[in-house]
Amino acid sequence: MKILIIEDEKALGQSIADYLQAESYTCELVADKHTALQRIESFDYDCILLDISLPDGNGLQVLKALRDNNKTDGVIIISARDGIDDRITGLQLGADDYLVKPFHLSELSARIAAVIRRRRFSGSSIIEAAGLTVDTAARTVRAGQQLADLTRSEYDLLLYLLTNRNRVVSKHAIAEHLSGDGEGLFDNYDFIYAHMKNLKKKLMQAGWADRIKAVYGMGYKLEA
Amino acid sequence: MKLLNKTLQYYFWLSIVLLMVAIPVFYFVLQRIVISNIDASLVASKTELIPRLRVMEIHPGTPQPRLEDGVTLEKAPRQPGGDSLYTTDKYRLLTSYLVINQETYRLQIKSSLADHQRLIGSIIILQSVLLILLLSGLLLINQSLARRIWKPFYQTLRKLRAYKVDDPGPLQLTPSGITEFAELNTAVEQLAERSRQSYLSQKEFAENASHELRTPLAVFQGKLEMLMQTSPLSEQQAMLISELADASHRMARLNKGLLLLTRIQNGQFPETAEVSVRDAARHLLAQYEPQISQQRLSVEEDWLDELKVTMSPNLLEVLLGNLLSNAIRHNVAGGKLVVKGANGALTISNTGQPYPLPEERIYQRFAKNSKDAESMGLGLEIVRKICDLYGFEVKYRWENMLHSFQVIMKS
Repeated sequence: MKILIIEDEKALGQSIADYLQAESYTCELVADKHTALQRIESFDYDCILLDISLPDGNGLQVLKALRDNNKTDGVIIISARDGIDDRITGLQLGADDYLVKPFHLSELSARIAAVIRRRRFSGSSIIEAAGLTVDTAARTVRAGQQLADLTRSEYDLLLYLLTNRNRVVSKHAIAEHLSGDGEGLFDNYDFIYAHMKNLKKKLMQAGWADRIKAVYGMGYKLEA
Repeated sequence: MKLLNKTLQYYFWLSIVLLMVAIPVFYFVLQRIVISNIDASLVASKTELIPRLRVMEIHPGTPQPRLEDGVTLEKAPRQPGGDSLYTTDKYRLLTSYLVINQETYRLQIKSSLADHQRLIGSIIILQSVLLILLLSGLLLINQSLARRIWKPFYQTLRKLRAYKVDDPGPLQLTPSGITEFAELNTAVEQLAERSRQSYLSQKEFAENASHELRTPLAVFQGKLEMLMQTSPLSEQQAMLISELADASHRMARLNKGLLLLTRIQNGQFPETAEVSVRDAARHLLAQYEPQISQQRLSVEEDWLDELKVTMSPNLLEVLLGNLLSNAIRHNVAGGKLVVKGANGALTISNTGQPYPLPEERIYQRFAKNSKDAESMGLGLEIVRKICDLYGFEVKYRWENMLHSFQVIMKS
């Protein structure tokens, strides 16, 4: 799957590309509007990551050009601006998602996966990995044939780890993913531990061999 | 004391002193004039009498001519000296010695003072009344005039009092035709404009700095996550990375809080809706359930009504989120959390440190008071800014070993 990263901060663009490449995505990195416009004209991408403030113009112009040409590439805006107006403008112009810097790469990866899932045609809502089958449309999880009955948080947690499989996901990223804006009010990650324990127990009851590893108190990793 | 009263006070004292001095002086001067007048008329009467008395000399034996009231003529031993004038209690008396037919007579002419005294009295009273009327009239005119003249000043004062440096527009004062006030207004307007500009640029700086910090923060966080993926990774390295991640997380959060503050101050939450504080609080309490159960807190809810307010739903959530999370975070294990809504006010109370918080410091940025070293100290400042925005009042109380924050949303 092809991803175009339009980001003028090269170090950030490179981190994103490196992180995503582990997920069999092919990433192209451009740093200005001019090159970005050329690329989107010639190629189709599964997802475009778009920074709004580019050295030679506003990233929203790229988005506009894309939609004017009736291209249906998924677009996630990554911006330092998080005003409601900025979000609304971006989403009105046809962006699929809006992610504010600084973000966790694991969060970005989960959002990309969601955008791609949404944009693909029917039958693609199934993720099969690590011996688990997740139906993202029905929000069900099976280990082999056995259905695991997960709560909403546990499901979200599993899907998050699954889309970031084989990589360490930090506890901050998990906390932020699970509690949204409410995170940051507590400096307490014990609730992740509790969720994780329940998730593992339920999956193991369904006959799954536990592949979620805690990595030195830094975060967790699902090995596929 | 009002400036007006101050000046009036001087006028008043001056008037009193003037009255006190002027009336006796006036009285004595008047009296002297009257007496010298009487004396002159007494002397005139005597001069007029003498030729008539001389008749007695020319025709001895003729009876004494009939004399008017107040004139007596009687034989008297010869006295040296001329005429004398003196005052008895009611009369002015002229005594003169005449020699008629080798006999000495004492001629006394008296004139009653009572009439003159009455005259002086009424003149004095008239004068006093006039003076008092004049003075009080002056005071009244002065006061009403001053009130009118000082009107622009009070208008300026009123506007200044209502002016806040974060008001959207510059301070505009009513123009005045009086030079001093016009100058004052210009100076005040300039001062207000300067503070507003520096406030704006400071705000802009805070906003820009927060925005500009986000990209390097994103780079930092991204690289940290990439560092987590490297292998082999020793436990020591993982610990270092973990601590860096904590720090980066805190920076990101601080950044978010600062931006939220500037955004509230910029009035960038214009959308409002009628929202139920009870529902929002319940929603948040459910969301914080893991933290609440982890600290084994007992939650008490007491709602008299739904507490509907018209405000930005986002800000309501931020407001409640900050207050509730504070009440949870600064609580003690097995403690209490009380959420009350009644009469347009929301009260969140919690157990915690066994002593009251310093009220004057708790709303200051970064004033933290907790064992929790990571509390960022922006929470209550954000709470207060939101309250300022909607005209709510927030109060802290320490009662029955409970820390209470009360937000009065409707009065």
